[in-house]
Amino acid sequence: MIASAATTRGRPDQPFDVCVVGSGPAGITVARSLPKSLSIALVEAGGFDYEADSQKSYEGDTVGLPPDYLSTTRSRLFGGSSFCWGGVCRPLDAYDLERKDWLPASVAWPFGREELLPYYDRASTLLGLQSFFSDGRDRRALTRDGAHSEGLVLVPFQHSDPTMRFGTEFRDELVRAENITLFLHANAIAFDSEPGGNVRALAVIEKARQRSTISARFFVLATGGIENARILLNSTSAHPAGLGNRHDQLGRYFMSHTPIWGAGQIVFADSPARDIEGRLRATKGRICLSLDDDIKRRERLLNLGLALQYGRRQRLYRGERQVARLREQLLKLGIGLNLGSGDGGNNNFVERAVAGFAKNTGQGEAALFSFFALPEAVPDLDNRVTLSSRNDDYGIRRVSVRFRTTELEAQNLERSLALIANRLGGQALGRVRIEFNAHDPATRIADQHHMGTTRMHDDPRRGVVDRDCIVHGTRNLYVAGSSVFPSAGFVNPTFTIIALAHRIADHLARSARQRSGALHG
Amino acid sequence: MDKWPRLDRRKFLVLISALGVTLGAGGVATGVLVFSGGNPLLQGFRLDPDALRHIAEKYFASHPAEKSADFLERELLAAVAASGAGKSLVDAIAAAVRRDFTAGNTVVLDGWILSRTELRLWVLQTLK
Repeated sequence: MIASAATTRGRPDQPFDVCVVGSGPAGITVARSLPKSLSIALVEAGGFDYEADSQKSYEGDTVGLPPDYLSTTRSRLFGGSSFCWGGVCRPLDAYDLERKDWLPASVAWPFGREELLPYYDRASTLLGLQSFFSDGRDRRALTRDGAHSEGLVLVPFQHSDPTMRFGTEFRDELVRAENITLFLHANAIAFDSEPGGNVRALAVIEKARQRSTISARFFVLATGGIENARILLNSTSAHPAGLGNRHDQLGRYFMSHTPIWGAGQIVFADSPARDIEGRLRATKGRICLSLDDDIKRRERLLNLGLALQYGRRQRLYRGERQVARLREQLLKLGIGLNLGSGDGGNNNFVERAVAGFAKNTGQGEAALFSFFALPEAVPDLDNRVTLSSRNDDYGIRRVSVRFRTTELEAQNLERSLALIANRLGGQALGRVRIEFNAHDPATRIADQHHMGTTRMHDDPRRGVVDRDCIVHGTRNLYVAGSSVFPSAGFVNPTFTIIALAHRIADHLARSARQRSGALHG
Repeated sequence: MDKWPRLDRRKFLVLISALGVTLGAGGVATGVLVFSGGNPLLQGFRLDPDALRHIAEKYFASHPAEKSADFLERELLAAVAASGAGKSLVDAIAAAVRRDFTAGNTVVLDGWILSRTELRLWVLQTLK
């Protein structure tokens, strides 16, 4: 049902079991995944439709980002930023979860990838995708005539098709759900917590500027990678620096991907081109070319995916007639082009090209792919969300966000590209063309993936939430969403956000049962 | 058996011209189809001398010391010899190109990351 924040339920004497703040993919997934026996308040700052007045609350100050970055890269309405999601899905790789000891602010996730696998499968089911972990759908080596190449992998993505807009998809279900009370136009101000760590209530202000509180036994903050930090920074009742911020970690390590569109081209020899084309046909998503993990570890490289865009088969050669004449002339000189022998036989790039030139049958046609580059997002202590001195129209302090990429990232990116090019050329698989300057800051523009500002770490001196995504120093406040990512790889975050939301719901359900048992036992 | 050492200079030039056509596929985006315009055996192929000139200008601008047919032939023969044991000439050149990439012996030209050997094969033709 839909209610005003000033409803009876949610007052201190009759708290909800769970208050979920935010109705994007994370919040809706948590709300839907919790047991129906739990009463749930689902709090959304916007309405069912886009409203410019509500969206304005996202405006803030930026350093190193476009002035309108904060209000144009997220959506403040029921369904949240699923409305600006491209639907691209892929799990993080094991390498993404590891600590990179050569990267100053890097920490490992508190658990390995295997912990996430069942939740990734649940995310796949929710989105109507195939599991990434069966039938060889996960990454595998690029091949040439069936043989694995060395050091190069194809990383497949899937696409939520059509892209799931959570607000549209689940609106009726959530409005009808007997255990869920939906609060629209309820702007979260701050959490009210006790010094002992128990969060009691969420203060909200409604569209009509009426203030009230929503009490609950558990809270899940799921308002996005920037807003999560904002609300915790504004929650100063127990600690003046904000909830979970005893060690000045809150808001730091803000990460965003910086995709480089039109980054370059690759000419693939025939066989690997066919391999890629086959993979592209098999998945509705994208295919990225990447170095394998062993090389990345050894060479201390950030992750990088080159997203291959549908190959254009090119007639790279002039045709059969010309080749026939060339062969004839060469033979007159006693030079036979030995097309079918030697190491690699007919399969290496040069010979393939010659053979294709000679036969003009299509077998030897190389293929041209363009690609855009997806560098790994990097945690940086100084990239951070802080509170601005300005308030929004509801009197809530806005945010200020600082973001930059570093020379280390540029050098690392160049090195990865060179290694990919050398691996392709060294195995006669193809050639790479780079069409951007990695050192030009203008090429590294942050996208709409906001991550890392309440990162997960068991040590409160290194992170804001623990491995269960509970805010350090609290007992009953979870954070859902990409703000908990300690690292981000190069893949789109929404799929992992949904997986983690399932995991949080499971943990919260267990905690609710235990607390219930303690109360009644 | 090594085939390449028995090539005389004329045959070698014809062969690298042929290989240049092939290797030019790597430069498809620049429309590269190379041609040894000065060699009568290849006249009439109407390949793209402009593309070849473009590559040569760029390459020699950054590697002026290599603007010498003798130097390039010597370097190419050495590279092929180093890769050529037991191979046909075509295989030996292909192996030299692969070895360049493995060793990081590459040159960036118009954004393309190319083997030094394949570039030398191309630009040599403009000096003939």
